[in-house]
Amino acid sequence: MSQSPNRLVATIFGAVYLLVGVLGLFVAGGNFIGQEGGLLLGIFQVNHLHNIAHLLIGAALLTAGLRSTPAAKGTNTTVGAVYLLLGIVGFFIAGTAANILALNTADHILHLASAIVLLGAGLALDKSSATARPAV
Amino acid sequence: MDALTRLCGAVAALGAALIAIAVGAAAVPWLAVPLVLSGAGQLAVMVAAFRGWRWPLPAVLAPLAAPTALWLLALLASPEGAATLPLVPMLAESVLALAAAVALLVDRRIGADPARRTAEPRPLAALLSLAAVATVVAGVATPALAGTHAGSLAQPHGEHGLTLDVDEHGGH
Repeated sequence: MSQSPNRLVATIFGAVYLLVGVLGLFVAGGNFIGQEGGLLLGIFQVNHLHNIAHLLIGAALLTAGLRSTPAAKGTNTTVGAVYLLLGIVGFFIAGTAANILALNTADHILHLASAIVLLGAGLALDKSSATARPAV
Repeated sequence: MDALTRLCGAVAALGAALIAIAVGAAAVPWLAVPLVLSGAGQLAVMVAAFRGWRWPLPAVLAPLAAPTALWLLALLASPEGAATLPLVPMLAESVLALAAAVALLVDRRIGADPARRTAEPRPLAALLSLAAVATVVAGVATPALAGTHAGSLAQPHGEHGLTLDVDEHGGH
């Protein structure tokens, strides 16, 4: 794993997002969906739909990171693109009822940083191993 | 070295793209459309740079230069239209786009020399470079995004979790 930056990134980000998803369940209160939510670590606003998304993304990244380099590369790229899309859409839905994940500024910064690292790793690194097939 | 320079250029292009789209979202239509299209073009440049694709130089530079050129044109031709483009975000966008253009041009020069070309950076060096440049770009892009109309609508930190109650009659 230490030779593959994609597996390293997927495993670390997966573990962190799983932890964030679990911790978020304790602070979201009765907010399941919508603009209102609880504050995680006093900064990141989450509701339960947001927590479920974190848990699913964390599980996907962690599984891919522990599985293989091509799986980690594909998952990093996909999740990075989704986060980037979320960040762009967030500009247009800020302050409207469409903000069903209760996203705030800190969430956007975290998603942007995650998108940069995940997309960068997925698109630019491990190119030689992406097409390699495991020996059978 | 060329691969790391390309990574830096790609991340800078991504930061510029996000600001261009955020500014375009609240601009008057004749400025909004080209700004959002330029942002989309910068995202395409970002993907091409990450993948190592060699696009023709105009295809790389045009989307990077367009928002700044449009801003300067608006300042000269239509000051009331230019007033819908916030100063700090547009400056940050221009700086990031310029940095991306310089990095991608340097990458081309290094890539043209077979002796200096590297196929893929070392894993640790690549990750550390990616994290470092992501921190710098996020540091420039985040205040710029906060200065856009969308940023001013975003929920401020601590709005729902902390109420600051200042007692003006504390008597200390």
